[in-house]
Amino acid sequence: MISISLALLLACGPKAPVSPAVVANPRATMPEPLAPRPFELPTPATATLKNGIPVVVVENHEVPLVYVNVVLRSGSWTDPVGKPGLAAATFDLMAEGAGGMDAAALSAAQRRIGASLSTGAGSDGSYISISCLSEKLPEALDLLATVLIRPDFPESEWELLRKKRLQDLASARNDPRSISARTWAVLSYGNTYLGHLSNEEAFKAMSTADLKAWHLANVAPRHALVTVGGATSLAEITPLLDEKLGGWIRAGDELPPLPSVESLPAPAQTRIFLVDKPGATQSNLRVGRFVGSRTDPDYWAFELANLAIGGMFTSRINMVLREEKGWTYGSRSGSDEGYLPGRWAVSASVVREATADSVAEIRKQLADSLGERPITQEELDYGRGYMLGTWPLRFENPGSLLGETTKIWRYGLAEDFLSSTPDKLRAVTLEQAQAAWSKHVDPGMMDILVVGDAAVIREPLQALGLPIVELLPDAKPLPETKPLPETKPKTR
Amino acid sequence: MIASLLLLLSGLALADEGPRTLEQPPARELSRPEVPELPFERYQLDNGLTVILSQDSSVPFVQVNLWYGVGSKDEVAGRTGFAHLFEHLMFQGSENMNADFFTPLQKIGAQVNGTTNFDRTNYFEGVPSEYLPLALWLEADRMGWLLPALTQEKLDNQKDVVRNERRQRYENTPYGEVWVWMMENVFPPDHPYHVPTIGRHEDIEAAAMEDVSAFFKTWYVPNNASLSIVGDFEASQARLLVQRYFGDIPRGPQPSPRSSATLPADWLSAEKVVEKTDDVPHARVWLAWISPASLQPGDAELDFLSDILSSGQDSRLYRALVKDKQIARSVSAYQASFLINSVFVIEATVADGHDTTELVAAIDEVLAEVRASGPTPEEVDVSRLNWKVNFYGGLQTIAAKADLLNLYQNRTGDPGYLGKDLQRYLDATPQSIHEATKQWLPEGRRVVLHVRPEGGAQ
Repeated sequence: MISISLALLLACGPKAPVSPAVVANPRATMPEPLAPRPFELPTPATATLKNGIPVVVVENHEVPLVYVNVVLRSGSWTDPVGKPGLAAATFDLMAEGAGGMDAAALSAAQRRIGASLSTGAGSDGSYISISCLSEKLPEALDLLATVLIRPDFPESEWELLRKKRLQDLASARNDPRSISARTWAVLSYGNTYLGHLSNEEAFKAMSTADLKAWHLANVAPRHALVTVGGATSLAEITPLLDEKLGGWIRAGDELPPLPSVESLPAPAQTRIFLVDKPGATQSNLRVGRFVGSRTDPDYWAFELANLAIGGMFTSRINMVLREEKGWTYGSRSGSDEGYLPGRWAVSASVVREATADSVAEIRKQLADSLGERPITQEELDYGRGYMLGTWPLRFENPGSLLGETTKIWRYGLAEDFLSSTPDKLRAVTLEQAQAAWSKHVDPGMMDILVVGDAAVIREPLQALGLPIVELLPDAKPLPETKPLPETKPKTR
Repeated sequence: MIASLLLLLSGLALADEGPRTLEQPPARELSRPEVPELPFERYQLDNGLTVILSQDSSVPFVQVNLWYGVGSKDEVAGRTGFAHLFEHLMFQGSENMNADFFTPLQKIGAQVNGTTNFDRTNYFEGVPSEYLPLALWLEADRMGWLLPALTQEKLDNQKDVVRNERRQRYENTPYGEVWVWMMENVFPPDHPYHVPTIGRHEDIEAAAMEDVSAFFKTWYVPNNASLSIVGDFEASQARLLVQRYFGDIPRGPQPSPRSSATLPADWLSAEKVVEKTDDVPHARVWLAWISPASLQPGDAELDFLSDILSSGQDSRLYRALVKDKQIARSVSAYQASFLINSVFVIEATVADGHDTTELVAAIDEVLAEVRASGPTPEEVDVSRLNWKVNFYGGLQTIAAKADLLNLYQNRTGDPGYLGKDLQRYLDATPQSIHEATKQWLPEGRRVVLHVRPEGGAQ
């Protein structure tokens, strides 16, 4: 399926053989590369189980471990309205009791065979995985299938888990990074499933009946893919998978239509959203807006433009904010496309005293990149070299290749997505990169989120001349300032 | 050497065979090769640089990994954080490549970084195989000729960057300063681990060019470094390249990194309770004991103990605190192994409505049981199996292998120490874990650090 010689990917520059000849000062000039080493990308083997579940296997016998993942289409995008967090709660609780075993018994059963099972649901999908010694594969698959198909959703474990999740939410409201991530999600995707964050009220109202119902409606073989990596083979594992999962049938397995929003609204003007974190010695910044989706024709052109301006260590913004100004430990930009168009952002944690200066500098860099300092051919080639050079690392271990395979399955990408990408990267011209950049990045229409010590940074931010909206975490509005209510003296 | 442990261990993980005695340890015969090998060849350049080569053609990449035998333990008074600050300066260019170290590397897709801890400093880059000459040239240039390219401006800039790293990772992260509080209480002021590697703001700020130059000349000499190269390459080519680029770096005076520290006889003779209030969401408590150094007797036993105490929902602490009493939301134990001394830590977060003092009492009940009767043979067998799976799981990248070879070289002088390392875990028994628990985790001799939210909530 995927078989490109790496030599093709990496062939560039002259090749100098290493010779024992004495060089006057070998240090004075940068050495030329050697001849590229031949490499065949591993080709996944595929099969289909009796009930139609596709199986993808990438063999690797370096260590006697096997990783088996059942990935499912359902995720928080199938959460019912008013019940954000239900998919995640369901997958969490599946691992806390199944087939008559309670959480401790399930945990002990894994440890007895050196296996490790995990479950989870994210926004666009969910998974259940197990890693184990190859010789324990039958026992491990038994556990996997039990948790996947026969979860018990025990009441006592739910009470415990719910309390944990409530405490996790309190932790998230305390941590500046989480505050920023959650608030940004609401600001960006407020009216879609990506902006519907798990919260206390929803957790308190959720019951095991909700979880059971969600499991029944959303976890079905029709929406599953099995990926396997490690010390096994298609011939060995397919009969085992058929035995454990092939008989799994579920009726009424229609999922809602996949989320799609043609485009999300761009902000009409650039505004600063400020969330107070009293005493914070740094401010957490995000500056961004919506960009496109993975299937856009200019996707790779935009990615390469992003690498020039903010996507890597050597990009303009990091070099200025960190290596020139010393305001931050690091800054990166990038976007994360799923079912919905991606939100691109520059992010950085900057020293409190340089908060406004950092915002101004990021905006200046963006404006320059669209005006007097467009992306150069050298910058474009630099980012391209990075992408082409790191490409083979996606195949270093089965896990990363299977992850790419899952992405193709989930988002319906072209079969040749992986094999064709290097050529697409090579084909991007400077004009295309600059055009994609100009199309998506408009410094006049950006959302800016600042989580930091408002008492110190408010005034300098005001001096930037942009509208400022102060918010509570999760983008909740500040309580309106009302006249103080009349207070009656307390009587005891 | 490490052959077939797997087979054996999975056998051991089966049913308990009843009590075993020290006189009759179970047979641990190594028969069939079943685990990955880490073959290597090692040699030394005339200038004392140790070179370790290990071929692995799983991907057309090569890892260049360089350890310097210097860490924050070797800093001088008033210069905490310096070893790490210096590591940053190593990325600011050298005589023949006076540009950011990332510049020539990122454009070929290299994965580049460096880290500093108490005991050592490492630098590594994973590059497509044909760029091995570039990676070696860059590493050699900064090992030999860093100073000509260094300026006051670069130093000042990196002080700011490092202070921002401290703010980001320690100050602006919930519980981020705990490691600082713990070390300053676990170790006396003159102990090399008293201040964590990140250092103090004022010391970082005070660093001067003379410090940089002296540190470089003292520690960054080829005879205090080991270079491991792992991945897809030709050994003969690599030897030539290493000689070409590193060969004329002069040997320096042999440095003596700190390898021991004396604790006062009455140090931690009684329990030391520290109470902190901070911007954290929940009260959390840490118990810390000084424990055997990395690879020393008792170190592996305490790894097993930590696993038995807190791995999985059937573990002793989890069961007692989270499941049965429901006074904690989470609990974990770990042996943090270092060169001079290690620290055994138990940390637990309260469940809403409870206080850390209850947690300490409940932890002590569990510890009292282990001190009284030790772990069961079944617990130890299960731990051994899971430890092994994790160990091999962590050996699946050439980056991890390159670092491990250097770790063994640095700690033991033998890059092939893997088999001996594993043997410690094979040899551990319920009895030896019981002994280690009694010896190293006695009642009293520990630090108890409570961290509670501001405002007294929870």
